[in-house]
Amino acid sequence: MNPKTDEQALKKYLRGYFILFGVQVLGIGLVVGAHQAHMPGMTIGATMALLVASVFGGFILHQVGRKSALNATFLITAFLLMMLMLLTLVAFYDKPLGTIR
Amino acid sequence: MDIPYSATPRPDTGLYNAKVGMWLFLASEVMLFGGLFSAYVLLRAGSETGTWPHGLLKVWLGTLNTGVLITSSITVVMAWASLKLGNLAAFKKYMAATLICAAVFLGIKSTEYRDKFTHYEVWLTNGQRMTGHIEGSPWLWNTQTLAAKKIDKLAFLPDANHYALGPIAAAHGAEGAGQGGHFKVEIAVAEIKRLSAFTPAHSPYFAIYFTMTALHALHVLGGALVLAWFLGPGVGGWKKNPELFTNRVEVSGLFWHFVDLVWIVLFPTLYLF
Repeated sequence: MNPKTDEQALKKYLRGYFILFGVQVLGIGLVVGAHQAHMPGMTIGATMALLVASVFGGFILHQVGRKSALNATFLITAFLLMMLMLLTLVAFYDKPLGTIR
Repeated sequence: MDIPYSATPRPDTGLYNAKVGMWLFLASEVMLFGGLFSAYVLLRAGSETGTWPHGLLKVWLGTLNTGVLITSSITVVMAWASLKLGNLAAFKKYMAATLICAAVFLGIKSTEYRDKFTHYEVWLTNGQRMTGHIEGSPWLWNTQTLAAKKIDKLAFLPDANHYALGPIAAAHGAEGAGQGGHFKVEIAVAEIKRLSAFTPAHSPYFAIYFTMTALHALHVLGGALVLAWFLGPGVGGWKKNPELFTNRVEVSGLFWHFVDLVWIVLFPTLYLF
């Protein structure tokens, strides 16, 4: 790859970053705006959308999908995190016998 | 002997050592913050109705800090891109901007902590509760402090609203009650059942708030120290091995983006919901 192509590839890569950061700024603005307007459903929805956009944007930018070693790390982490959240749900509904609440 | 693949990617994986190491580290960090988030959910869901504080954190400060962190993520990418283009001067400029953002973030966070350490809740023996400030804004007083200082009366400046009970001033019949909280009540210490600043000991909310935000702030501080190393004493690495130096800056940037992402989760969770 010649230096000029390198620079062009880098600029393209950076453009992806800037789009992601722009999405983050807009997303945070939307989340705070929804909160100020007392729209709890919208606040939660916008937060989830922002989080998903940030994670997947980062995933694509870092080309994790093209590198199998990182894919395995990413998948195992996602699996463990989901199990952790599942355990949280189980714990939430797990009440000892005789508990009134 | 040189360690293989520290500067150049391994052909079969396309990755150099530090990048694999950083991703594995970030995986463990996801589980660390995931566990704390899980604790937050359980504490929040298990709290009695009306006891989970709302509106005690300044949303505009949190929003400002979010903007600062996102800006620092941009500058750290630009610092790495400058190295890729062989421009060390631009790298220094962008890295310095990143460190300034980190300092601003930590400064704002410290201000928020200071506000909490001088903001109190008082529980009276007759069942009333008030939030507000003690005259003179002392730090971190509690019930034991009152006894240790042998104080008989506490000059208290109540807030106009209690986070769980609504308007609170009228209950004390004070002049100017509910007009923005600029009035003073004298409370006999004998009537005070409990006094606590908004510290981790105050409630489960503040326990989890300080745990999560302090851990995040430690990550910001740790990341900033590493980035400061590249800008200061470590910059000589650029002359010795530019590719290795660029890789190190890249993985540090990866960590920095993670810190940014964690804050994007923490901010709405703690400040807005």
